[in-house]
Amino acid sequence: MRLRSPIRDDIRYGFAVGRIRVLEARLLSRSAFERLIDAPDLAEQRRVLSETAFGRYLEGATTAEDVERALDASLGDLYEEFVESSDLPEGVVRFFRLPHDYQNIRAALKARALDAPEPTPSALGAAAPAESAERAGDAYDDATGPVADDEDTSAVLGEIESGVDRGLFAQIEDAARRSGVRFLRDLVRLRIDLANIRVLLRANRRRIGGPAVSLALVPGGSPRLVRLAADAARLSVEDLADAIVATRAVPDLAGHDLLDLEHYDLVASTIDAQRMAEARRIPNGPEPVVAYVLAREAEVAALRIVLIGRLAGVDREIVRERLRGVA
Amino acid sequence: MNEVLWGLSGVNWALLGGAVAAILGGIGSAIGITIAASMVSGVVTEDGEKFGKLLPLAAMPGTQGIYGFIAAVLVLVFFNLLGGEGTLTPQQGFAVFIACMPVAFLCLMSAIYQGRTGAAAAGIVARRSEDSGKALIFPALVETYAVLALIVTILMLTAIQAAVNAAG
Repeated sequence: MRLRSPIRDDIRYGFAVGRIRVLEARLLSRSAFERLIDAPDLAEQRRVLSETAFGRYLEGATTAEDVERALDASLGDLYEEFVESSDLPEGVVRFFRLPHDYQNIRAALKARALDAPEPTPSALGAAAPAESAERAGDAYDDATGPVADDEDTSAVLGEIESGVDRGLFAQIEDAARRSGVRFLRDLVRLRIDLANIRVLLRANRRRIGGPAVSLALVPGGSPRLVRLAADAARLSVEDLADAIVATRAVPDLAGHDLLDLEHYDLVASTIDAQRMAEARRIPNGPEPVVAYVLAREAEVAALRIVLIGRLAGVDREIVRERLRGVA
Repeated sequence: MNEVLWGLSGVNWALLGGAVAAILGGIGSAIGITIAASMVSGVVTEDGEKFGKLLPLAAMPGTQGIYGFIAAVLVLVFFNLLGGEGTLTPQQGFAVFIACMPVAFLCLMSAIYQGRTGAAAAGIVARRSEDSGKALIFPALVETYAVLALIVTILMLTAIQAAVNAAG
């Protein structure tokens, strides 16, 4: 019966969506971020944030480490008090937790590659921190191996980035599929396609050949984009842009959006943001829940840029510029 | 009066009609209230002051269950079934059953959709308390069709009652 699924979703997500309708009004506005950027020091920034959800976490924070800890704690509470207590499907919970696991793996692999001390793993992932570290070790031994003296370190780091991203997307795609939430599946597919288009554009710019491009492409996206890997380096940027648009993998893209990589990054984040805005307008169901949690994650990422950036003495205009891609 | 139609006597057809109206109306209301109330509970968890403005939205789908109940009571009263004195031919009983169908099905569906509309309207109140009056209008529009179905059922039952009385 076609009505059964919407009724089930309305009841399952209703409570969480009801909370969201109140909580989303408390998300930090653009003007709040402007005040934070213009604030002279962390004490003033803490004062600006004192009336928000971040106030209690940042109380007494004076160093970058304190701020990191406070922001992680706020995300941890979001996952524990909201995501896990809202009776969301396990796949949805994993969708939010997995990036933190892979961030742990990424940091551990890079530390090993650079022979640096192992970083403390974040507890925000689905796996226990110790388990993440162990997994990182296994992944490192399997995939990369130690960096030889004469080996190009940046190439190894790039390999780590690419390998971890592929693993993350594979896991996220699996979580989205298991969740049974169509919006989540479509969102992951869109993100994979946007990431793969970026790989093709970079390959074209650097004139990297087919096999290496095929390896860098994330599986699970549009197969029509994967077929372009062989020609990515051979085509002119205009022809590649036309070929990408012709695949209709991301219908919102126009040819002129793909001619410049920086411009493409901006367009890609706009497309993602539009998808989120559409999801927030849906009255009930998983869409507003996913959109809200992603908005909170983006809010924390933006706060990290502003608070830690300003603590490190980064120029206000640079912080503003970095914020454009996140908030 | 031992005649039957598809295995049921006239009185049994009439009772079945009343029962279906009460059952489907009740199911619709239970689902509709659950949908609206789960959203309202979420809003109230974060902002308890809105409870008074949200309560009508959660309660509104409950009226369909009442309409089904009214239809069932009318069947019992109109055809003297309470005292066990009712006598209906199978055709008359089947007509009573048919008369109960508008309220039964309209109340089932409209209560569910009213619950969904009420949940969406709760989102309006969550954002702007001052719009609670406007938010009430949308689920109230859905109510119209449940009321019309009840009126149709009452008119049909009245007509059948007149026919039964005329037949002696």
